[in-house]
Amino acid sequence: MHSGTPHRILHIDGDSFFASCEIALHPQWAGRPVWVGGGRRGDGIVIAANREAKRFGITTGMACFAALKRCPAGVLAKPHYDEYRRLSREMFRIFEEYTPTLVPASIDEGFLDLTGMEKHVWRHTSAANYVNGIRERVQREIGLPVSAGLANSPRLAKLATDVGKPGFLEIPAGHEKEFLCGHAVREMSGVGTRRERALQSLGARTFGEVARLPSTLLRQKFGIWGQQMWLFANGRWSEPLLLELKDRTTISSSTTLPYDERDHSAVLTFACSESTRLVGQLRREQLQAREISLAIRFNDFTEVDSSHRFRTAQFRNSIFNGVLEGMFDDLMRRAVKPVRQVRLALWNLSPLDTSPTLWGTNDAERWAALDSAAQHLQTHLGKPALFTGAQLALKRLDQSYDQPKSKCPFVPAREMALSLWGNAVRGD
Amino acid sequence: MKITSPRESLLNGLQAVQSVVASRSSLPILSNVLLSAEPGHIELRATDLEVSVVCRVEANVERIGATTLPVKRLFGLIREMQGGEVTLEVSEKEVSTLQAGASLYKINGIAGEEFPRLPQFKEEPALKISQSKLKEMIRKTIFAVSTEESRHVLNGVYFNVQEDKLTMVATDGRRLALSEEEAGEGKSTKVEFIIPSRSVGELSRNLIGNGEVEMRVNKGGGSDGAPQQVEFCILSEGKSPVRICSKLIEGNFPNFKQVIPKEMKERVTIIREELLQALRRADNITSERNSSVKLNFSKNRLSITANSPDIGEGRENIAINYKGPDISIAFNPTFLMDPLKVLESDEIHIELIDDNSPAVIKSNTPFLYVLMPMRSN
Repeated sequence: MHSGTPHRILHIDGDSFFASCEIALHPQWAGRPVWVGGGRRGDGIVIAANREAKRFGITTGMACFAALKRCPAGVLAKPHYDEYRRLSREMFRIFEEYTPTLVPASIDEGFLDLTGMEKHVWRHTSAANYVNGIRERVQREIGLPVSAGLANSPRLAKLATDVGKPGFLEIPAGHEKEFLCGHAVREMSGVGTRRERALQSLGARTFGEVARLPSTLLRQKFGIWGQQMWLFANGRWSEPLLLELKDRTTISSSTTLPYDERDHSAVLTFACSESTRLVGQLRREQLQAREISLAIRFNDFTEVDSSHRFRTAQFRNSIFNGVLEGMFDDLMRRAVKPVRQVRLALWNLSPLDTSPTLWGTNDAERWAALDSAAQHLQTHLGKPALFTGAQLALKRLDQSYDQPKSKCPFVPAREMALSLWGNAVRGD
Repeated sequence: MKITSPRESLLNGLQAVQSVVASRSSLPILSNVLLSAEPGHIELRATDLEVSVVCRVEANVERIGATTLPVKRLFGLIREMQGGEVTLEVSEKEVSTLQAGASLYKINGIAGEEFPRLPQFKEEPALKISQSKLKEMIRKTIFAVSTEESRHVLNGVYFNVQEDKLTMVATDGRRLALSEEEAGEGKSTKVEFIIPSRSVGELSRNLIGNGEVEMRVNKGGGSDGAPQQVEFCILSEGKSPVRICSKLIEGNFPNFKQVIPKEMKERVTIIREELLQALRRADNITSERNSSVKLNFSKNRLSITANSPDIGEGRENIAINYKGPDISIAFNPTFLMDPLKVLESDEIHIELIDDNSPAVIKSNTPFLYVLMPMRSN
């Protein structure tokens, strides 16, 4: 984009996303206080609450029973993460129609590049009308309320959304400094307690005060970030929107078991099955890992952990599970407490060369083909169709207790982009 | 032990042996060089337990004996000393006194008996070849050695001696380099073995003269009688011989004859330098994720394209004499450039079958390179 056109970046964020999703799924709850409970059975802590619930003083992180005490007429919804992902994908599909560059930031928020739109698209209308059109469409078609902010950089747009919530706020070009001067620096993402304190020691609590500091001082104290902060506070930080997918550095899972498990061999079965899943993911992304780590949390929240580094990077279930079993035995030799949570990670990743060799296909290629076939079957049938021994053993164990399994709702930006556009964004 | 030796000869000897010594070693004695004085000369020897280098230096030996000294320090010291001759005397407590010009140094050593022994080799050489020929063959193969630790038989260069012919092969599974030369006067026995690439590098480093190299093998005690050690004796005129002994990699080298395509469909002759330069430019557009360039052969034209979505794209056109069907084949540019860099002929020949079959690169010298194409997207 040539320098004459100021960047216009739109930030869109779902309002109390999980709670809104529940209302979209259960229209009869509209208008009532609704919160979504996390934890093993969906009755642990509040992980999202809608505006009506917040009016009763219900906040994220509060225990569900405490929330019910404050608002007996409210609705406690169990989480349906798969549904939230589906709704999120539908929401992003709508955003996609409005912009050449869409950068998903998380399951419920994203950035849209609207640079240059004023010349053509909203020449006869206003930015507010245009963006409100997008918001209304999302509300109408998916049933989700969203808020938005428009500014000259992604950071400022996000700040605008937070200030304007619920609704839409535009910071017109040239008015950035004016808008920022009254706002505290901690409102911006990326300013943590340490930086906030360091800025306070220079006498700057708000962006207005930062703007008045000499830029060289900020540069000296904070390096590049200080310089950017000064430009930002002065409304001169104009940043294009770029979709960058950082390479994966780790593949991990963290699972709180549906109940405190006393049978350690069942925990091992679970860990092996989970490791098989992670290794499948590893190979589908054409990676191999040199290190594996395992952490076990007991019911009293004490933890033990261990990790193993291989001589060379590995990509086979049998090798990972063999080491995992050894690590597990070492960790649990003297442990008697029931297990609450199992965390597994594969890291120190490197690309796995699956191209054929002169002597024909190699192991890496054959395993990768098996994984993608299994994945294909699974997506085709909508349920796991091929099991390794560990996975089958876990399935049998699971069937003996009829408990729903909670899964972590966290979806990093990278996953979002890949689930939206598949491998096309990776360029291979 | 007490000797006097010309400083220059001693320095040359240390130069030859010092590079095998690992900078960090588990055994302290492996950081040392063994100096053993025999009538008329002293022998210098250094090893990392895999490869050993032995070199003789003329000396006036007053008292025979042996000691070991830290090689990097000794080399540094003798390099900087003045005077034409160095006198070295070892005390009973293994303290060596070095004297040259106006300098006098005492260095603590370790007794010579503790130094690892060198295996004995049969007197009869299995092969004789000129230094320059051997160096050339190493240069044309060593780049294809695998660096992956998972398949150790590929971490070395395969040597095959048969009917006075030496064949050297190196492969990492995706490409294979083969070089072959006539070598005379050897015994007409058949031997084959794999030498670790580090030893081959050390050998190549010492091939600096015009003379010959004699190769001897040492059969192990195993029932199959497979060689366990190899020795190269580098004979240069006017210089004392340098011997390089190396352990061999155990295991069987993959059957390389099976992957050399027998019948190729198309043969294209290209000016080596022109192709190399085009590839060098195109290589700037590749990334770790998209490490391939595509070679599109069409009537009388070769176009090379590189394309990485996050970087950009490029195209190179080269005029060739080609009448066959269109072939579009993708390669790792590094793998394609490697042989072009070591060959010296003006022209090279690329032989092809189709888009997905291995390609063969040949030159007018006895050299062959088989390269597996990458899967094109």
